[in-house]
Amino acid sequence: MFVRFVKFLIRWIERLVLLAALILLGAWLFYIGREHQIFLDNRTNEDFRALSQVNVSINGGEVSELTSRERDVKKIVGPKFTIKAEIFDERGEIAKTVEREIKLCPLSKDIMINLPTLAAESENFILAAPR
Amino acid sequence: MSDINTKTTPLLRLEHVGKEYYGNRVLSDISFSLMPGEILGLVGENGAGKSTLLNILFGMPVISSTGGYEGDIYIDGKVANFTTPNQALAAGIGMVHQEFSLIPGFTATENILLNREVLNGSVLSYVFSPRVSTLNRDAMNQRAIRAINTLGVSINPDMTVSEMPVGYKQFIEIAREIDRKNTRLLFLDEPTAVLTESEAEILLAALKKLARKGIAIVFISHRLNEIKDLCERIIILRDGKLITDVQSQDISTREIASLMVGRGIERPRISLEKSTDSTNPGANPQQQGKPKKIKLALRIEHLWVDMPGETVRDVSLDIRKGEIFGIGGLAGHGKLGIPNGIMGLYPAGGNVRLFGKKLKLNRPRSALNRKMAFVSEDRRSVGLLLDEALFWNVTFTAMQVQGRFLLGIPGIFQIRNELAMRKETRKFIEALDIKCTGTGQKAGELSGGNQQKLCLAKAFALRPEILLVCEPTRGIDIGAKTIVLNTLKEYNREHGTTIIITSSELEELRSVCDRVAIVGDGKIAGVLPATSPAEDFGMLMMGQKFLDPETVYGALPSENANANANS
Amino acid sequence: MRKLFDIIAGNAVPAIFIIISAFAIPLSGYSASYLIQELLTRIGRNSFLILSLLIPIMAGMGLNFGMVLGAMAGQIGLLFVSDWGVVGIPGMVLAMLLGTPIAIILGIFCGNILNRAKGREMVTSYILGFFINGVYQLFVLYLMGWVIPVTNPSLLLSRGYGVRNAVSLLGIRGVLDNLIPTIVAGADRAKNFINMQGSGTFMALQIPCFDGEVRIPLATFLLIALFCVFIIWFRKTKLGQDMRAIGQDQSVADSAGIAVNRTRVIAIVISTVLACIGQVIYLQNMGTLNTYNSHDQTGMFSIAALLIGGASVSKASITNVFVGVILFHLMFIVAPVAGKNLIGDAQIGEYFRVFVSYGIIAIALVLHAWKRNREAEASRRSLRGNSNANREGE
Repeated sequence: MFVRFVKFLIRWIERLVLLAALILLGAWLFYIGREHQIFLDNRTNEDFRALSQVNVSINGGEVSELTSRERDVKKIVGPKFTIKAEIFDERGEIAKTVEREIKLCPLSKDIMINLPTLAAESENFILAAPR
Repeated sequence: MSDINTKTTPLLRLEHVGKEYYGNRVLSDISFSLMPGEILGLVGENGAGKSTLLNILFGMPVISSTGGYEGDIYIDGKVANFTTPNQALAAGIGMVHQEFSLIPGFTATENILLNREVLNGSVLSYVFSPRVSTLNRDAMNQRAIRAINTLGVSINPDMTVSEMPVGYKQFIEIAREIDRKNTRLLFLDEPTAVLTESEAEILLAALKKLARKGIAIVFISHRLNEIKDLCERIIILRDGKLITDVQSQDISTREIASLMVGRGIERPRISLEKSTDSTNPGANPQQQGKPKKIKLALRIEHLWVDMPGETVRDVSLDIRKGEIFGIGGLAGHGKLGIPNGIMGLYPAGGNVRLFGKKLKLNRPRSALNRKMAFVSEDRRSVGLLLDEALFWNVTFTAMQVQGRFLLGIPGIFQIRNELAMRKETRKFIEALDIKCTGTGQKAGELSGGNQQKLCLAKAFALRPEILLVCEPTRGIDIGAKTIVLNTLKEYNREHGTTIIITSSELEELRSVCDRVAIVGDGKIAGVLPATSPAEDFGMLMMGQKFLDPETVYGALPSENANANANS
Repeated sequence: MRKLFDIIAGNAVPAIFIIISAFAIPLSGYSASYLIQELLTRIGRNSFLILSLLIPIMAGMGLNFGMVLGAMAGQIGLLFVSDWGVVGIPGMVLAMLLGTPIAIILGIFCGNILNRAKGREMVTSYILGFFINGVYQLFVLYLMGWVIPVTNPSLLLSRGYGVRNAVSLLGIRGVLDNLIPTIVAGADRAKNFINMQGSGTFMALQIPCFDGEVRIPLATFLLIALFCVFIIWFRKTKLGQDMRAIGQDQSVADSAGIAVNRTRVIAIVISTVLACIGQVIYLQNMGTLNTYNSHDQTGMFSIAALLIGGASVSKASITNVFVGVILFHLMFIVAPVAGKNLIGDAQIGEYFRVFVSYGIIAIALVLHAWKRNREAEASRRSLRGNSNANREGE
């Protein structure tokens, strides 16, 4: 009798494990499959001035050229992406290139990147997305 | 003889087993025992209690849901009380029913191992459920072949059941029971009913083989020669009681037949006026002394009827004008099919001549137009309009078929003549002593016996020349029975109506009819004068044939034959 | 003579469709490559749904009009995936994963109700479809956006709660179909195609002198093939055997100890879950979800296609599925234009489509009842004696 009960219990534990695995699978799909919007913002905020021109590309994709005050939005799939920003100075030459790999928290769908902050290589360039 | 294991404990023992259904006693004080490897024959008419006994032993829910049974049943000396068939199966009892319990589209192997298939284990089956495993067909085939070989027959295990001849299906049923590891007792309910003679022989040989292996067998059949051949012991049931329990060699077939149909002292006699009337041309011609011209009311040739449960295969009968002819036999053998088929209620074929003229089959209207009337065995659904008044029921058919009880111009405008309808009904209420509150009472409110009288009244209202009555006294009390039967006799005497009565009560037929035919396996087993001894009829029911062909077929060589040519 | 009649009667329906198509194809003026392309697309889109009907038929429960319950479950999964913005293959799989438990619950519900309506399963499942449609609409029109959080504004009605009718599935559009891009074309087009592909698997088949191009949804077909393998395997399991037994004679199966009611519920649950997956595949090909309409004709068209393929209420095989989907959709593609060219009215295609779908189901049901009666009579006839007068009546 006891042996039968233990077998019964093990079966159910295995089924729960299977169920948990499925839920985890769902969560993982959610994580890697979610599409996020990256808002690019080239605007003066408290600490930094807007850049005169910056070329931004995400994951090696199409390059957006932004002058000061301009904005753009790009879509990515998955939590990780690389952003490459080429910052031009007044003379039209590349002064600085910033490349970062950013990992998003899965619960945040859209984010906004403040480019001047990024250019200054400070840390708080990630802001919440505009509604 | 079988190799009986010398155990002292019987495999099965019944002590004072009885059963009553809400006051109606169907089985009383049955006691017997059975040893392993013994073959016991169980004989009895329908209604004797055989099916009830089987139901009790197999744990059928119909028994426990109606109050259980009395007495004790012992398996291997220990008390057993089955309330579901699964318990009986677990105890090693197998049952082969009359109706096949097979899946037609499956092969023999699949049927033999139904729900006991051999499975291939796998990871999936462990996690989800064993039913997800695939079938191991090779192992299954082996087991099936083993079971089939045990019976001593050769059947291809891959043959689909729907393509098998009927005899093979029976073997597959039995193979399924013996494939179960622990089957020690096998009940077979009329297994040879659908088999040909050669198939039956093979079956009996197979059963003997099984008994030699130690399986006890209870064999129910109405075929005397099979019982004598196969069984070592015979038990005869009658009216729910165990009449005798003897060794097969110590009793003759005639004795068996006589005990099966004979009447005990407890049976109240139905007192009827015996017909010694010489003006009745249909009565036994022997009593008249001189040959008379016999007119045939009905000549039936090679009739078949497709009535589920009462199939008629090949029936030929001659029924004389003015006689009261009885049709009896065991249930399910076709006696009810004959009148239902003639009246067109079920698909039928063959040749039926009414007073020499051919009758159109499959059309009740034809039969009614030719002045035949029918009282069905199913009075509630076929016989009566339960929600209608008595006077409606009695006169309705006459109105439809013969145009009576109508006022007005036929074909243009007619209305019911209620006065005439009620008058006719009152006449019958008086004549038949129908207990009711008046002609306007609803038919459904009457008691069973009175409903039967109502059906008779409806038939009489047609002033028929031939009356077919099915089970006239089924389910009604003794007093009503007497009135019904007397009415039939009177009607026959006064109007010369030919009456054909179909009944499962042999005594009834013998007391009312002039001649009685016994139906067996869809054919006529024989026709005898009603005065023949009861055991002769019993013999016919048990499949024993007489040597006299004229008695067997009951048909006359020609329509106006010499009366003395009959037995 | 009887045998010939039986063969014709058994295959009458596919034969009729082949004849109609043979007339209509030339009338429509479509090129071969266009027809083939359309057919392949539709096969990929619909086969899964039709295959989900096979198991209840095996279990003797007739045509499962209740598959629309599975479709609704799949659609709810898709709505959530749309809201959360999960795209690509993960989005599609997640939709299936979300829809499955809903489909299981609905399947258990449907199965239990059908168990109380034995012998009348088809009508009951048809009406049940309407009922659950009402529950679905309650869920989607009122609860979503209100009790159930929906954040994506493009999904909601202007009043703030309730889902809109047209939901774009751009995120998962064609993901399964184009997972392994495959093309069959002439030399030039094939080369163009190869050049356009980046890395990743793809297949190209060059056929000389072929002017058009045909794209094949290879991944979808592979999934369908997997499902067919599943069905073949399932038939060999004990569960499949039990269902076959129940499908032929419930009382015999019951007296043999098979858990009839439970097995029937399992059959319906499997069918509903597969319909859920099938609907997701269907919608990923369509690219748009009509929240309130997409599932309407799912049951009807799938069942009609199966019947056209030669299946009956009691017997259906994988062959029936594919023959049916080809013939049914061939007629779909060709009839509107053929009708317009013939009569001048393009609507005739639409009328024809609906007329044929309902008509074929009616014919199948009548044929099924008629055949059942004949079989019962034939089996009783075998019990009759060998008399000469073996004809009815005279």
